[in-house]
Amino acid sequence: MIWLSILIGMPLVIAGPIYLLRRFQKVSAWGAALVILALVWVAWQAPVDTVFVLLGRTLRYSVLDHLALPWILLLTGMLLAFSGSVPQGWSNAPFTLVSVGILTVALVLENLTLAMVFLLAGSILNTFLIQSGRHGSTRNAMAFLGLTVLTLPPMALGGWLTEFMIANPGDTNAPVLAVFCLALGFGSLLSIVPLHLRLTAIGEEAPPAVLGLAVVTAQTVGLVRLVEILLSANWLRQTNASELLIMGGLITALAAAAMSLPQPNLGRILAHSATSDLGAILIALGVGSPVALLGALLMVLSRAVAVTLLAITSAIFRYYIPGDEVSLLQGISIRLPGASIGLVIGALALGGFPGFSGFPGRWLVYQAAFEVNPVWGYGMMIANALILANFFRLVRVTYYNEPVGQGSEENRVTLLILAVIIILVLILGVVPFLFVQPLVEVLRMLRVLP
Amino acid sequence: MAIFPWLTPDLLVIGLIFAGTTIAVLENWKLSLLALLAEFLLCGWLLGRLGHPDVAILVFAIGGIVGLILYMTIHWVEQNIATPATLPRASMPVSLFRLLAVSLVGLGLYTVGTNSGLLLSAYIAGQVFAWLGAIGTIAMVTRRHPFRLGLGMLTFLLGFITFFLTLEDSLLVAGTLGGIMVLVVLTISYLSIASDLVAKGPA
Repeated sequence: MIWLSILIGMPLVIAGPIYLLRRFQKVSAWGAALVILALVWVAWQAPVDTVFVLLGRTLRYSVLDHLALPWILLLTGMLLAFSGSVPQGWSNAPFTLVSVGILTVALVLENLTLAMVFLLAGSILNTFLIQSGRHGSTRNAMAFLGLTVLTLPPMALGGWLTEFMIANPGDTNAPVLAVFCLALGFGSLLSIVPLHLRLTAIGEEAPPAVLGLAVVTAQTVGLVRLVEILLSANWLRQTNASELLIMGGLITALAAAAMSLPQPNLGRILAHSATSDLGAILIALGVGSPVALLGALLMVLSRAVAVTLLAITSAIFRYYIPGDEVSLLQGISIRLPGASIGLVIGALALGGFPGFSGFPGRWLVYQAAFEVNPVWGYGMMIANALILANFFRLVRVTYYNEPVGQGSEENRVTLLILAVIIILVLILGVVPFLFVQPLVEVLRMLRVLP
Repeated sequence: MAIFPWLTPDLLVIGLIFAGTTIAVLENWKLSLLALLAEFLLCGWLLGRLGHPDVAILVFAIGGIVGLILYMTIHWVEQNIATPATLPRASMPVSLFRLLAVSLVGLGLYTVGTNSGLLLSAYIAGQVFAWLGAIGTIAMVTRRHPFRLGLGMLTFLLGFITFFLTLEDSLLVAGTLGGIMVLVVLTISYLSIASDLVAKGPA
């Protein structure tokens, strides 16, 4: 009980003092980062299946939560620490803390209806991060808020119907409606094409670290809850949920990859590439075999770290040059060598290039998809190639053009954070068995593997 | 809720449609805010009538909080940064266009609803969600200023919450959904001020 109280209560309580310190961005960002990084240890040490009953509702720290939460907290802590040296708006630190507290509740709540509502509450808080204290255009923040509000009905109804199905397994009408609501709700929450406007709204105007936070926190929690629903709801097997996931995933992977090609700035390219990557995860969840699930879980972890790295890189670019338009990145590797290396490694990781974090998961997902239907495998490969080609275009601009300005401008703290994340990307890519082994154990405990 | 027995659920729904249309069409922010408060009052009343008195009281309370936050926001904007650019007024043709949009969607909803049986008075909460959801969406699509767009958002949200609380009437769920509503209102207030501060220019 004490473990979950700390994990949920600590960020919510500390958010108050951090909010009061918001004008001192360095102090508030580092304070928030230290709290979140301390919680990584708590999340790692907390025993699996710890139960905490609050107001009659059970909070359970499941084996999947034990896998995902430390990772989410670690990357969130990195992003917060980074915003201490490259400011990402005064609202970043306090609202991220509140969001993390609320999303932790969404992760561990057993009651699915309430979990879905908390998931959206955590997501709504991202609106403050998108605006990030700026005055002027509120178009993207309002678009994000509006789309999140529209997501509430399908999410809450989907959660309620799923619980209804568990209590009334014989009902024949509810499953169809439940699948429809869950598809619509998760489609919008996870930004699946054509419901991907939420993520691109962040990518366009928000500070880049906010995009990283949205993917690392709300989307990863959403994906974990989706995996839990797919593994626990037996009635889903009698519906067309698998086909929906695979078709949605395939369309998302291909369409988002194609849409990333003409994008003029790094933020939007990143948003579309992350969305395309999500498509492959959905295909894996739809295939549903143990190998596919293992690949999907690996991809969830690797996607979070790759997007974090690219978000930090994009934030550095945007800090030192007056925007992150591709045309402004000409020869930037001379001025910002650390960020440029980060861009290359992040791009290779998100694109699933061998030796980087995205590869092991993708490899397993490809194997599983080709076994069932090669079309899905080829579809993913085409999407992957488009993403990589687009990133190579970016790398070419940054490295093979006449430099604008001279000399390195990055500070040491930024480079240190960048280095830590790059090391994480490389560890996941070069020695994936360090992560595969615990994941296999998780799948055994979930009875997916014998 | 035994008082005003003549206030039948059907009449309450008509009142909600009228209040929602006011928000979607009119420019006067005070009238729009009053219409939103009327929506909360009518939804709470309806929930009481449908046998959920505890939840109804919570809806009244949330309505009060929402109204107070929005009033304080707009009052602050008017006092501190009121300029011609603040809360721009639409011309008559634009308002007429919005009325036409509400009428068309209303007509479509009524025709489909009555033919399919979805809008029969047997399931009144479903009707509330359908009407407020449709009118709220129109207000969201046709408005640009965060305050007015936000009123549409709250209308949509209130319609859904009223419907959902007839399915799941636990106070914890009602309180959590109320919390979401307050969170949305705070965000709308923040964005309204952020957008209007530009009209003022540097302090």
